[in-house]
Formats: sequence, structure tokens, C-alpha cells
Amino acid sequence: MTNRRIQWLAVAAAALCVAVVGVGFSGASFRAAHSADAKVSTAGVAVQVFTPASRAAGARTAAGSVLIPGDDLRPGGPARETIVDLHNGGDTPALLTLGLSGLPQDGKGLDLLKALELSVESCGVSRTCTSHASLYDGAPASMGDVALPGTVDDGEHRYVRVRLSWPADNDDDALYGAAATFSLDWAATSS
Amino acid sequence: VSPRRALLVLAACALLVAAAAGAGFSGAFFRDTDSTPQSVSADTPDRWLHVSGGVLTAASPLPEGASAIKVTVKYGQLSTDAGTTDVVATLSPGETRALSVDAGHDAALLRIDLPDGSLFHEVVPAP
Repeated sequence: MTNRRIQWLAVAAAALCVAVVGVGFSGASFRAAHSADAKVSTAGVAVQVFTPASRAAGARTAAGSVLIPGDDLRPGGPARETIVDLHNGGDTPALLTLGLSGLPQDGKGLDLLKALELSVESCGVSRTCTSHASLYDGAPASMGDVALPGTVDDGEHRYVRVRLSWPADNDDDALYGAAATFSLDWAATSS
Repeated sequence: VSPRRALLVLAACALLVAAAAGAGFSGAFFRDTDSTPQSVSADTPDRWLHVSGGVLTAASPLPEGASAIKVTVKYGQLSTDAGTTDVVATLSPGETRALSVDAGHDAALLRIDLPDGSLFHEVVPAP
């Protein structure tokens, strides 16, 4: 191959490269995202989170809503719990996962999240969670991503019971008045 | 452009195209996340002391072999020692004593510190 041909081939490849990279990294046509105030969904999957109350009111539980009332917890006190309604609002089947983010990295807040117990149960398609399977049972500070079993077709619902408690055995004077915030991240990924 | 540089451009393009194709078709784009904030907080002792409501009685059997132990009320308060959260009783080994706890409308928790440093809890339900 002559040098001139190699040069022309390089120029053509560069042009093709720019075009392919532009499409490949744009993501614009494949991505769906939610935030507290806006929703952009063009294709693929879309997870929508409801609580029984918000579902009855016909409203999506928007980001910004606390699912479990977690204030003024006491060692040995009653557990706080809610059943979360997850809806695949996209147009393709999806796998659902729950993860935590934004946990404090140190201090009493982290100690409190080590003392508390978080229970995550899959209720399948049971809105009242009459049947369930344990997905996680332990300190919030130790929880990684938890995958819900099975695939959720577009338009279908799955239910998850989330329970927060403070075991009496984890009582510690140093935790009095401690507080922490974090996020429950409900994710849908195309299967 | 020298032939050597042209070949380098070709190689770089091949790498970029492969990366773009991998990212574009990996499925990573088909992901949606909805985050809900969560807050937790521990109550504070001064809010755990209640003086209204009915009087509860709890029997606290002590473990065999324990020597003198301290009994403190973690929250709720003993009706006979209103206001104190210090030692309210010293018990002999194996002794059982009925403790009256005025817990108001809330549950109370008795905590017994054993000499070996371990703890014995008893939760008194709300009336």
C-alpha cells in the first residue's frame, strides 16, 4: 500500500471514529433518569417508587419523601416498616436492585447505622406482603446492593418490605441523640 | 502526515471505536435509579423519662452466681425514686426484686450491669 493511500485511509478512519464515538458516548437516546424535580425518559427502563399511601393517592413517591419514619428510635423499641411498591414504568423488562448511598463515613451517625438493623424482604407481587423472602438482614452500614429476584416486565409491580429496628442488645449510651441520613437507591436495569 | 503517524492514528481510532461500541451496547445505559432519602435518629434520655400514665411492675430475675449488682433505669423511671437514673437497688445473688417503673405511655427498659461487664436487659411493655 502506498503512503498516500495509508494517509487517505487514516483520514477516513478518523472521520468514522469521530462519528462512532459521538453516537456511542452520547447516551441520549438510551438513557432514562429521575431526580427530585424532573424526569427524562426516552426509552428503556424506568423505576417508580410508591408507598401504600402514595399509591392510594395516585401519586408517585417522589424523591424527597422519606419511606420509613426513623426519628426518635430506641433500643428494643418497636420496628418501623413500610411496604414499597416498585413499578417498571419503562418499556423493557428490568432487574431491580436496592442500594444505599450517602452514609456517614465516621462519627456517631455511622455508629448508629452499625447499631440499627435493616431488614429487606421481597414480597413478590403481594401488595400486602403475605409471602416474603428475606433479602438482607443486618446493619444498614454493612449493606451492599441487594438484588430482587426475577425479572420485572414493563408495566409490572414488585413489592418490598423494608423494616428498621434497634435491637436492645445494641444499646449504647454514646448513641443517645445520634442521627444520620442516607439514601435508598432503587434501580432498574434492563435485563 | 508520515506513514508511521497515519498508522498510529488508525490504531487510536480502532481503540476508540471499540470502547465506544462497548459502552454503547453494554446495556449500562438502560438503567434508571430513583433515590429516596432516609433519616434516622436516636431518642435522647431526657425525652425517655415520663412521669404520667400507669405504673408498671417488672420482676427482674438475676443470673445465678452473680454477686452484688447495680440496677439502673435506662429510660422510664422508678416510681419510688423519681428523677434518678443512678443505682436504685443492690441485689444479692439469685435475688429477684419487683421494680415498679412509671413509664407513662411508653415502654421502659431496665438495664442491669453485671460485675463482669455484661448487661441484662428487660423490656417492660407499655400499658
